Amino acid sequence: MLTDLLYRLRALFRKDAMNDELREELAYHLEREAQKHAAAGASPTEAMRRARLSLGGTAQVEQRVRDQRGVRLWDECIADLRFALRQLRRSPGFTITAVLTLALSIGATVTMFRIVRSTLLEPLPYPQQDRLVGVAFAQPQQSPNDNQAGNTANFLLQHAKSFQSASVYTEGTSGANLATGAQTAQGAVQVAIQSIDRNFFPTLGVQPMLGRNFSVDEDRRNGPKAIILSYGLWQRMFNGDASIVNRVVHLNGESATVVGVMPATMVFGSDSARSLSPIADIWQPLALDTADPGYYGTNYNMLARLRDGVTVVQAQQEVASLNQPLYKEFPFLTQWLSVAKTIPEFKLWPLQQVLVSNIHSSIVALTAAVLAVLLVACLNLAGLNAARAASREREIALRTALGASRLEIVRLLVSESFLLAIAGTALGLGVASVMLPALMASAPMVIPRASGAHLAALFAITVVLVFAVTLLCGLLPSWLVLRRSAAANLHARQSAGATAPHGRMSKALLVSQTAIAVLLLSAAALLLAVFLRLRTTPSGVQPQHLAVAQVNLKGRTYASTLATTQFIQKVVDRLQQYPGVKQVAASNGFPLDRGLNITMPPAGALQKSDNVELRLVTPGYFETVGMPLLAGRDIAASDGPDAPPVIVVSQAIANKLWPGKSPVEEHVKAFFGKNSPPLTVIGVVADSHTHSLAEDPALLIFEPFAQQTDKSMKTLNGWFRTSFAIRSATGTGLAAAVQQAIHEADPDIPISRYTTMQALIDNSLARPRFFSSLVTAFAGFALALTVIGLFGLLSYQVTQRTREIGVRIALGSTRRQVLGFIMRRGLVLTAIGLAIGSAASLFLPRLIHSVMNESVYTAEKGAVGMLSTLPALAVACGAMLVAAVAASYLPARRASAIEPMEALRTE
Amino acid sequence: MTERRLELPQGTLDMLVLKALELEAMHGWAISERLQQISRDVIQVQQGSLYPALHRLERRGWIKANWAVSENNRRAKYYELTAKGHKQLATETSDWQKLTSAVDQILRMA
Repeated sequence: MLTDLLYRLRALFRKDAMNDELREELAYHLEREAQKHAAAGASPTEAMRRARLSLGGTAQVEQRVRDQRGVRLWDECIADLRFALRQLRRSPGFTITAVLTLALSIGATVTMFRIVRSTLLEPLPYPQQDRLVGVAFAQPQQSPNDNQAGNTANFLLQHAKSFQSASVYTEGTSGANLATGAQTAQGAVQVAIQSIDRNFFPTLGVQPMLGRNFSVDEDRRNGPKAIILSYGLWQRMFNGDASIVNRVVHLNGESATVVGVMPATMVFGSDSARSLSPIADIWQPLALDTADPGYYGTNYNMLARLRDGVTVVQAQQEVASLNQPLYKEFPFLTQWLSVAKTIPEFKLWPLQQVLVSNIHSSIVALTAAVLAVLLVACLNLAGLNAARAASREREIALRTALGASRLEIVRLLVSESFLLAIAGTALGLGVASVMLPALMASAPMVIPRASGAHLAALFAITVVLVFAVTLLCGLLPSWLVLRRSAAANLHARQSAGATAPHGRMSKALLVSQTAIAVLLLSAAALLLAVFLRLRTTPSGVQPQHLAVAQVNLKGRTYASTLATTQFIQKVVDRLQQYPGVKQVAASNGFPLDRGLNITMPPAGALQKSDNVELRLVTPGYFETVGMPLLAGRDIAASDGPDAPPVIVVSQAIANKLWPGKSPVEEHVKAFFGKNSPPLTVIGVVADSHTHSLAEDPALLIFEPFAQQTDKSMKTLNGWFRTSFAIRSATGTGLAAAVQQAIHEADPDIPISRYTTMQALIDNSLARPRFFSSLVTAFAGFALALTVIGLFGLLSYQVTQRTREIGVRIALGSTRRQVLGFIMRRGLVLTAIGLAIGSAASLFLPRLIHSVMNESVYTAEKGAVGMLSTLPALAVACGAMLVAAVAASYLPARRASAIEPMEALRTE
Repeated sequence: MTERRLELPQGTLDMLVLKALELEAMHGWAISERLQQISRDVIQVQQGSLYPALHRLERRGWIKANWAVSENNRRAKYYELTAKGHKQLATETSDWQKLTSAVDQILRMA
């Protein structure tokens, strides 16, 4: 085996030396043979003649020996490739177009492949990661997730037997103020903190690189405060100081002990639209307790490691069997959590699927779009190749007549496509290496970084691509040539114009191209329509010249209403004096940002399926952000802690609860504290959007900060940031003033975010913008390719049929008739493609729907209401038609300008 | 030379070449001469077929080639059996003997 390989390699790389040796060997043989004959008495010439005769011709023997080397096929392929290379060099226009087309589409394909690979296929970086599952208490139709309420998670921890270990944690991170000084909390910085129970790291199978995991005591309500640092924060803030363990730092003004540091590989987080930062800087114990304010809401997540020998299916059956006992123990769950018609149940998925579920269909859709573009590019090349093959029919016929087998002819024809595929792929890899970082940087969601150990996979996909492209581009046209006999090929030149099978093939290629391009165009139009519609949807606030500064008022310092309102008042007063500032107000929860939502009805009249959003505001808030007051009055400074409690409701609530009459002076039950007096509605404001422009305007209830109980104030401060809305003459240049005002109010509070309202709105649209612009670019590319294909095909046909057209004109066809005749050919093909593409487009909304659901946050209804297929289809077909007319017109005009006398002379 | 010379059955040339090389290394012409002599000119060895066979055997690793000085003081390519070649020759020889004796038997019985 090995000798064979070595021999063949030598035959490949030392070919000349081997041929020389063979020649010498044969010369020696002839010499000895001639000597033998001479010794028998023959003359020298006669002796040599006899010697040659018995050997049988050196050239033939040499050829037969070379055949024995086992590299003949290779030699011939090389010869074919050399020939193909010369052919390509002779038509640089075609070659450059083909290579660039392929490079772009292959580059996009490789880029998407690497993203798919690093997100959907890459195993999680934990030991035996396939044993990890995410366990949800969720609606049956929900995509993979691991959401849990506190009580449902605890119920599972107590009863489920399929898990070797399980952990309750919170998926998102929240902002916290971390100060490293040992004595004071000064110089605090904003960090992202994630709450996890003490089983989190052991379940994942990760150990701290320094220190230890949380103890049982620390993971208990009111237990000792402990935190674990991420590797990144440890490097950034503590310069990788190994003595950090057991040091006391201040988190939100309270002292906490650093008990451990996690290794760099421990990056866990999601890109949930509502989380502040995808990757945690600090972990703190979750200390799950029934007394937690959010205990009965779906504010938690759960992951688990399956017991050895338990499959995902078995575990699923086991947790499903716990549904009934759960509802028996907590009958109120059926009312509280039934947002939809169905009731939630226990469900689990491999953790890998849970973590990528929010980008899964976006990636799949983008990959499909990229593959569609690649397909269009290949079909386009196949069309061009078919035309070239047709013009080579005579050459091929000659080769066949001289004894070339069909296989050899195919090899010759495929060689060109192979070279193009190689060049396109090589360039495409280069394109991908530019495209990938650019895409990563511009993508509005976190794409997990590729770990780099993908060379083998990349190589595999490259080889697959080269072969797929070669086959698609090269084999179709050569099949065309092969179907015909050699005799027919030799006669081919004598018929003028396109031959029937060749015409059919070109037409089929063009129709498929058009159909795919229309599909892509419709998708792009749909996505663009959604994006444009979202962009023009009023947010409910006036974003011009409105700046937003946000702080975290967490910890013991801000556990009271008084401390909170005093801080807010100081900042508001200070900012109001700043020149150029017109109005300042504060709010807990902000439009298009996070805020408290409650599913509990305040008065019983609301249906249980409604999410009510609660916002705390200061007097003047509505005017500052630009929400018009429709009835009643604004919250005033006089609505203080001792005054009767008041609320302002949004138009949507007013319409729902008190249809047809004014809600002012009506009463609703208090949210917090069952014994509190009822709340009086004092005003109605116009609707606004809370999380996403894709949703219906929220049911909003506004309460004054000053009238909160300490308990609810502490909870709200713990969950959400306090936002200052600052309306000024220009809207810019306030950063320093804001910094100073907040520092003066409390030097320990860092600014967690300073931005503009417009930026918040833009940010909420980043994903739809990203997807619609990407798909639009793909569609544009496909459209351009289709136009090139149509133009090429018609031009070629006009050239082929010059004589026929000349005859037509000579026989009395008007130029207008010829123009129409050629244009009709292009437009009929386009029309067939349009019909097929349009039919296929009708399936798009469902696909786009799932992409949009991931890309804009929608609580329940989703963006499906925004999708209207017909206008999108009309736009797509319109674009295609305009392009087709343009592409057909030029060849048609050329045909109509043919001079009959010249045309008849051309053959 | 009135006797008709026999064509070699398909595939036997390789075995004969191996056999010829069993005792000593030889160059191509010598092999062809040797085969001619031993078979007493009964078997017609196509000289043109000899060289493809030699290269085929070399590729399979049954013989190896070296350039050496020949008996008439010229550079010639000498072939010799490898260990693998010896094994192959033994196998082929025994296969051949089994085959011929079986065919022999059939011819005699029938």
